[in-house]
Amino acid sequence: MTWFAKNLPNVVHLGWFGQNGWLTSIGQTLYMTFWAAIFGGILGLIFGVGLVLTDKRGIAENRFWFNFFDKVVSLFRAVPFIILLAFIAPVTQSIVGTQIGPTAALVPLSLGVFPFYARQVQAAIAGVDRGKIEAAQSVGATTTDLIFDVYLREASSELIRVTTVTLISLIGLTAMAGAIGGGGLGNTAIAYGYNQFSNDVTFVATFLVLILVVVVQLCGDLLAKATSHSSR
Amino acid sequence: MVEKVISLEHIDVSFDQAGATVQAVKDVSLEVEKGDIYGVVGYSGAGKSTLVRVINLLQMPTAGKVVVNGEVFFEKAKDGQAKQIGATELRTKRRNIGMIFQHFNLLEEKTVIRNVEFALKHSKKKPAEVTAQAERLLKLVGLEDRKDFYPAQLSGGQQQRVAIARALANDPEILISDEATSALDPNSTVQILDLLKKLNSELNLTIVLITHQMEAVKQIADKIAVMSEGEVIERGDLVDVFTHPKQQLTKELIGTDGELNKAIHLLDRDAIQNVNHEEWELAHLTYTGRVVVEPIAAKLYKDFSVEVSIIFGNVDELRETPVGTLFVTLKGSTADRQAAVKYLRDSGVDVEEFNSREVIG
Repeated sequence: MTWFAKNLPNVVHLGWFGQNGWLTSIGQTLYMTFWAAIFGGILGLIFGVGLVLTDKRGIAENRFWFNFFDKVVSLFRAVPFIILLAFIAPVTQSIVGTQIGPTAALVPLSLGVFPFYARQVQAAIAGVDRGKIEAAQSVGATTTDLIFDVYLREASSELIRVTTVTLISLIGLTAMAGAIGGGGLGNTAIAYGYNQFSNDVTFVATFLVLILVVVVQLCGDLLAKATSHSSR
Repeated sequence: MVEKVISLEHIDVSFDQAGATVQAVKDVSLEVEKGDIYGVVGYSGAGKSTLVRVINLLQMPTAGKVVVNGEVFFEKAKDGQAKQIGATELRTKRRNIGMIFQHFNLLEEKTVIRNVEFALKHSKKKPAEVTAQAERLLKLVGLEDRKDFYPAQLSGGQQQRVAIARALANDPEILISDEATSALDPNSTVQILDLLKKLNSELNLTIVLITHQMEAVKQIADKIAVMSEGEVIERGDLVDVFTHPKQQLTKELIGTDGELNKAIHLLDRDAIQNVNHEEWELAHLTYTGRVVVEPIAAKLYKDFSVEVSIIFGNVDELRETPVGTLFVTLKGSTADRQAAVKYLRDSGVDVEEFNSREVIG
């Protein structure tokens, strides 16, 4: 402990637990990443699949819905995340009851990550060979079969790959959400490191985020490889 | 009376492509009878694939009438309202029309048996019966020992067999084969064609075979239709069309054109310049079945005083019917040659004559 106390005094000063403790902020980052991934992920999947199905020559071609999905995704993607945070604060207030803390951060995080994910999902499942769709249709598959057994299943390893990319970008967003009171490692790095001239805190917080990113990437790569049975 | 299984009447299909309207199929009518193996041939882009997709409405026609097994799937006069069967009913009916593709189109993330079972997802069978049916079909195509493999672990020919098992899962009466052998090596091609032939005779399966490979139709089709630029330009019994092609494109496709050019090419032009033009001709003899058992050359010389010299010959098999082709030159007086040609025709040999001027060009 002496080496740490001598070289990283501010890091040790924050402690493990307590409101600003390291485990607390790690926990908050994981919490925000996990739940925003769930909400934003579901929304992104719905929009991504919707875009492919309703697109021209899609299996449920529908210009109105395609435009709806497309415009919503484009609109949310166009707003810089840091502005989105501030912009939807009143919405957050009405949903969660507060604008501060990790739970409050879930609203902008989910809305910030879903359009990004939707585009990635769209690209992933649009890559499923049209011939597979035709073959499934020729044996009388329903739209539900086509979505789950063909589009999502056949694109599964590609979906895992884009999910990994999205998760990593989401971890980045949680750091930003931390800046306006979301907590987590981003908050620690800015509020207790940068703002208080404690470079050691910034360094350790960054290092922890880096480890998180590497772990997510490794798990994603392994999973993508394990689920793929195609020749590609 | 033979049963009409598929009847396409005055089918038009057009697409909007980059602002322009492309007419892929123009006023095509086609009738396929129960148990037929009907070949649709033509170069790529002729509209073959588009046309057959109209049968199970994977492709909606712009106009025309589609009747399968007496049921109207689609009907629309040029300016009239479209009438078509409902989506749910269409899905049910599609299960009666199996389809196989050039690139197999198997689900790569499912095992072989799951691919076949996928086609049975909405059947009324119990799960155990579904598995039994899938296993029975895999046995039929000779892949029962590969049921837990993934498609990527199989060869092209094996993958196409799985696709055939999937297409047959719901015991369809019709099988559409869209260039199913075009991506396979010659060996697998023969095996797949043999399998299709076997299914046709054992299950009385009606097969519509689209291909640009003449070898494939030669081997198994009973009837063929030749398509070019969205239209059927020639159709009929396989042997008839092959032995008496009418259209230039048909001749090109089946290689008759090439054979004549080859015969002319092989002839010594200088020698022809010097022959007595009145006493010489090039003849293209075609005979089907086992008609030619007599020594023709000797016979023509002995009985008609016509000298026969052979340029080259070839025997092909059209759905088990041997079809012989022989290019010969005939030398003799006009009357003698006419008598000889008449004799040949009377004994069932088809004769096409070319005089020396045509040959020298």
